[in-house]
Amino acid sequence: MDKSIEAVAWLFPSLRGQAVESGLRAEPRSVDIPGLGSVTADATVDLSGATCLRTNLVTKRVLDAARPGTVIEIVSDNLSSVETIPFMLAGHGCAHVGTLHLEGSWKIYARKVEGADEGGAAGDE
Amino acid sequence: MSEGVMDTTEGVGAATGRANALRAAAVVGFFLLVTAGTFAVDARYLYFSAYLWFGFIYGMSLQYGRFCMASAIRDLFAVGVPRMAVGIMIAVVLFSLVSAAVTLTGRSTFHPSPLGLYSVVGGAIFGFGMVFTGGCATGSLYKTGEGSVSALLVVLSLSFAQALFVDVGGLLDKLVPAAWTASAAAKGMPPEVSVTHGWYDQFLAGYIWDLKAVIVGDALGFHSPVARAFVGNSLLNAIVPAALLLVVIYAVWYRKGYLRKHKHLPPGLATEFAGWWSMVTASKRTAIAGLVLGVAAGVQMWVVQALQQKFGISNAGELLSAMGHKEGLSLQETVFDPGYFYVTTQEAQGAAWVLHKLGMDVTGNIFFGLENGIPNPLFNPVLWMSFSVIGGSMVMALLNNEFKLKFPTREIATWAITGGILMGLGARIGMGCNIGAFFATVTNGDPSGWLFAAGMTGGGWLGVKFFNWWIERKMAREAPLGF
Repeated sequence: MDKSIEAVAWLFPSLRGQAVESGLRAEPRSVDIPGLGSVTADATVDLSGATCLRTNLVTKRVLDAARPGTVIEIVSDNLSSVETIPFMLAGHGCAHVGTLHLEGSWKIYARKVEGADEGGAAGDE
Repeated sequence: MSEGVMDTTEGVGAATGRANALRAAAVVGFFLLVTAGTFAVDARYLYFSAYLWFGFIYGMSLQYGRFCMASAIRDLFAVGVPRMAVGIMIAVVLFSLVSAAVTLTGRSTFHPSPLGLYSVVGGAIFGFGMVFTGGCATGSLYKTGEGSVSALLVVLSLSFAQALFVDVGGLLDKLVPAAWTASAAAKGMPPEVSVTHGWYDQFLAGYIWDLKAVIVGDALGFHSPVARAFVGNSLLNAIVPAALLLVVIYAVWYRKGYLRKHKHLPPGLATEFAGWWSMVTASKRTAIAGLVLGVAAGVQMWVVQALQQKFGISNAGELLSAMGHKEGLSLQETVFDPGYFYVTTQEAQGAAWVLHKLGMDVTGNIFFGLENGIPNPLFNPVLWMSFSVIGGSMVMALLNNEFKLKFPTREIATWAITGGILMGLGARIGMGCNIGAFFATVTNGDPSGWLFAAGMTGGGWLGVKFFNWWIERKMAREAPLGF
């Protein structure tokens, strides 16, 4: 590869044909949320360190791909996304279960609703 | 969204909370010490401290509301969430009303920008870059206060890009229309300013200065000062467009979800209004931040003008000169001193000062040499405001246990620097950023801000499309998401 292209490829790993992990782990596990009780998270998507746009877009795809009834745990340390994601959920057929603030990160729990009517505005109460 | 959707369960330990409260107190203490110490040395530093404390309020509000114009555009186009766009419109309405009141007192420091297509072009470049970085100019400042090193990279690249861009000539000179060069040459600028060399000099003197600025209240010929300020400037230039935008946002991104959730409500105007109001109040945090920002931004104009009258000055350059800080003043013995909430220009001054100290001559141009100067950052009141935006945000983040020192990956750092450079270029071409060229203008009767907003939205939309493609491309290489 030409040296100048190599430099660009070094900066943008995916240009080198390498996949970049979405951070999705589909391993069910029980989590205890103070005040909400025990919840089984069917999958976790860890977006720590990601920008808000990447966090929101990956979350959107994960929510769309989830089967009804599954609970998804979204881990983020991006405050802007932590604020936005609960507003996104209804538009992707999900309900907000709760948000847990830990040291340095947040865990947002969303449940895909049975027979969800997806699409349309994210806007909701 | 279900009831109590924003409820967050705190899982942060008490020890962390106490340590963060102490750190927050230390930051506040530092700013108090600066204010008291400088005042003890010279009472005229009060002018600097006014900028500092308003910046502090902005920083706290921005962080509290996660208030970022990049989010407004990105969340709408990428994920269909209007919360931030709504918050900005609330701030616009509030700021315009307070500005109108301040204008009536004769203490407005606002100067309109010329009306021209440059606002759209600058806004588009700025908006495109903003999506790459993940934060607007103010958003990057407050995120720096939250501990984001990536946001700091945005601030630095934005600052140095501006400082270099306004001084660069060479190949860029070949892109200057002959009419700009002729018009610039006819302006009779001082010999220290090479007005016919350098793209930006000719852009300013040969194009921007030939355009006319408009204040809606004046243009509509209102005789009553009250009608001019409240009807022309506030109602017609800010409140009506903001309300219309909120209606469009409701219709496109919110209405369907609201009506689906409230099938029991009878169709009609009352239901539609209830839905619109539900959207406006959906994120109380953002709405409260918008309210505080709007009011504070208006009050700042009044306070700065009052201090200018107290010290008998019309620009901080006179104050600096009288205090013996003459280094870095412009040829007119002025410095950048808008008198209201502004970012980007003072950061460009800071970067130019660094370049100057490194031996680069960046004063032979209109932007720094003739107009804004490059004062020492320690004696640049508007730059004090930028620092205190970071400080205010840091305090709010610490008090809510939200501060975290975050280092970017190589890829995110690249986006931050690339986007920051684009934002810097866009800010200079658009004569300001999302604050100076939009927020402060549309709220003071200057319609040029809406042109900047239109460009910024278009550029942001394009940026979101690009990023969507980028993310899809990357995720397509992974295992299928079905689970």
